[in-house]
Amino acid sequence: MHISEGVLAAPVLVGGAAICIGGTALGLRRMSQDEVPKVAVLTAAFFVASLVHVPLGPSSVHLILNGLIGLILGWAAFPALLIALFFQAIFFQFGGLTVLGVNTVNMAFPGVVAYYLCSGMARSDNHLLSIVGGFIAGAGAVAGAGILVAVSLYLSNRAFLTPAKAVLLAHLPIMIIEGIITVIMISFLKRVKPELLRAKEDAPC
Amino acid sequence: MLEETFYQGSSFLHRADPRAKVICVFFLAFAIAYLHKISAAMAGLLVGLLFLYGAKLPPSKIIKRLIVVNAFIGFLWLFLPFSAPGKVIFSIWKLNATVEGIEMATLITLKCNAILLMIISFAASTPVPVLGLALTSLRLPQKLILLLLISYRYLSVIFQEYNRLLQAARIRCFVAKNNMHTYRTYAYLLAMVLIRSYERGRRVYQAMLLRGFNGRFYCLQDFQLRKQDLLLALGTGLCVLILIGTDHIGAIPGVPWGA
Repeated sequence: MHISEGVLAAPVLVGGAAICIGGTALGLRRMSQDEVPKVAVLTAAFFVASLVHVPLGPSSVHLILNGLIGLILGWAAFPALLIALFFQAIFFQFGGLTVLGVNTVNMAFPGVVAYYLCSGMARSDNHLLSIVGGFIAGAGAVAGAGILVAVSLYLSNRAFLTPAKAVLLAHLPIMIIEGIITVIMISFLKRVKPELLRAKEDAPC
Repeated sequence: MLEETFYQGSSFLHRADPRAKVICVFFLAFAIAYLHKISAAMAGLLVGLLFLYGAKLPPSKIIKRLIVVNAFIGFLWLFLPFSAPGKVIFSIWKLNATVEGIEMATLITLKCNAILLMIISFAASTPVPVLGLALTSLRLPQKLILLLLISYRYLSVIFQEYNRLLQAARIRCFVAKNNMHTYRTYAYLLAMVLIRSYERGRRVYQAMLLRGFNGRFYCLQDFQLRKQDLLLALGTGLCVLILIGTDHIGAIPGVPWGA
């Protein structure tokens, strides 16, 4: 869920922007020149994936896939999500410019955590381990994003406590869907294009 | 998918130097995001309307967009009036709406829409490729700008690819429902989109190398600061001062929300 413009307090905005700059700088430094076009096209693909609405109960939710983004891109998830969120801000006005930093951190940071915690498990040849790793990455990254959104709201103003709780609650069903879809996507990628999950190790082109 | 119908304009904002626009929008948006008082936020909304006027956009379309985007704000209106402590004005069941809560929600609504108006006017008058070049000359990291430009270039291509796959699924009678089959179909479909994008990214890079790509795009367009750009910058500076000034008149330190 994106936080809109004008909601957060200035210190939260500035703090988020600072962390976002740090993460993006690290992501860019770890990305070799050869990887730039690949990451760029994958960024576009993730942007498209975020437009996909999956039915859930009487309504539908749109995918975030920040866990999978983290697993595939590692620290490059920061610049990739920064750009995807920038596009959402200027094309659809979801999110915004002053909250771009906070929103990027909220989405990308759990992805990077998933990269460190789960990429070994998700890539493992053991089927069960891979399923568990993928689910934790997919569901955990969405949960992380929900928690960070709630924390940024709460830090801005204590009166946001109730909406922050509601945000967390709304993330619960999305977590499960994202976990399931991430697991299936990983198992598909492992069978069809295993090097995509090992983007870091494989030689450029 | 992406509406770019507003790019062809000859308004003040369309003609302004993109670098000047980027800087002005940046400072104004942060100044508005900082405001604590409703009066100042109203002035901010006025600035947003000025931008809209400067870009000469059709108001009916803008209103439609704003209504959609205000969903998050509507969500906050459900909670904020009842969760902020303060003077109670009315109550529903056991929930007490407070003056402070309603003020806070109003403030957020004003600030949000003020900044959104600026973003819409800015985005509508600045094509992304031009923006990329402007950011290059503002010394943003080259890799980030390449990411921006290349992913922008392939957005619609990949969206078409996704739609083609979805169409293929629909021809085979796929209907999205609440079941594992739907989730599996979407997951396979999206994984396929990722694989194709990955392959495409490799081919694109090979083609770029073949044409002598050395890590940067060269800009044929020369940006020049003209009188009107200085005017825009001056106006922005003035607006920022007025907004922050209005916000601080009579402000008691420590009371502003969020501080």
